[in-house]
Amino acid sequence: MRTFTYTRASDARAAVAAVARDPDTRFLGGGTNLLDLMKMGLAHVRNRVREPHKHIATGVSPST
Amino acid sequence: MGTIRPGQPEGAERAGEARVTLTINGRRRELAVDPRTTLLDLLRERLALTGTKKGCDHGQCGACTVLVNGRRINSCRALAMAHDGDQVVTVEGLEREGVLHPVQQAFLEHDGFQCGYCTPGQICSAVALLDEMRAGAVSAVTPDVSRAGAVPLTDDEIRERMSGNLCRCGAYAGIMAAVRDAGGRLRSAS
Repeated sequence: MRTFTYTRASDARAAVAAVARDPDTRFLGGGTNLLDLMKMGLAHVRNRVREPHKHIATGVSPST
Repeated sequence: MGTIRPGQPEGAERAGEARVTLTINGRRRELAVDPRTTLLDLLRERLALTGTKKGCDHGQCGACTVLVNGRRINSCRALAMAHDGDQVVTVEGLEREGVLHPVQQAFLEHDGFQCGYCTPGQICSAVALLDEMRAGAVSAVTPDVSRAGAVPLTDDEIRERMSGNLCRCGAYAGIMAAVRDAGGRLRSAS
């Protein structure tokens, strides 16, 4: 798996702002299989954002 | 991914690593980890807690099930960094002063395993599901979801709730008996 930086956003607004700033940033939310795709080399992500205690919608398709 | 680093302080940070604090089996650990490290690899490779098993590494078999803040998760699909500040309990942390958890004891008494590889995950899952049922969390097979209180401990409920933990030896009959028995004992004790 390629490396990435992990950012824990303080709230939903900060998480959305972080993703909006950088097209290589992805949400890490409940139920996503993004980590599986990254393990298999199908998705590469530079930054991941997680908002604590809430699940962010994961309608973001990983780049291949 | 995580690597065993003998002789190096566990909190020592290297390039590209970030710090994470976890309470694992009651012990607070401050660690520097590569962001790619899964909770499973952290437990096994860094902390030598090898009770938790790596089966498929894709969240399909349940061998890596651990409890995080009292709820069961597949630790292979969890980034360690995403659990900063969380309480983790593995199969090693279930016993109390040398006395096995009632679920562990029941697995022994009912032959709830053959090779044993899936067993730590089965046991952690069973511990959590018995709590979930006691707390009234309904499942896909609960006949009456409007009924309040603990969910009855039926075989259908146990099968449904244990369905995320696969056993390739096919020890399901013993696993069912163990979970049913432990569940009954825990309910009569509470």
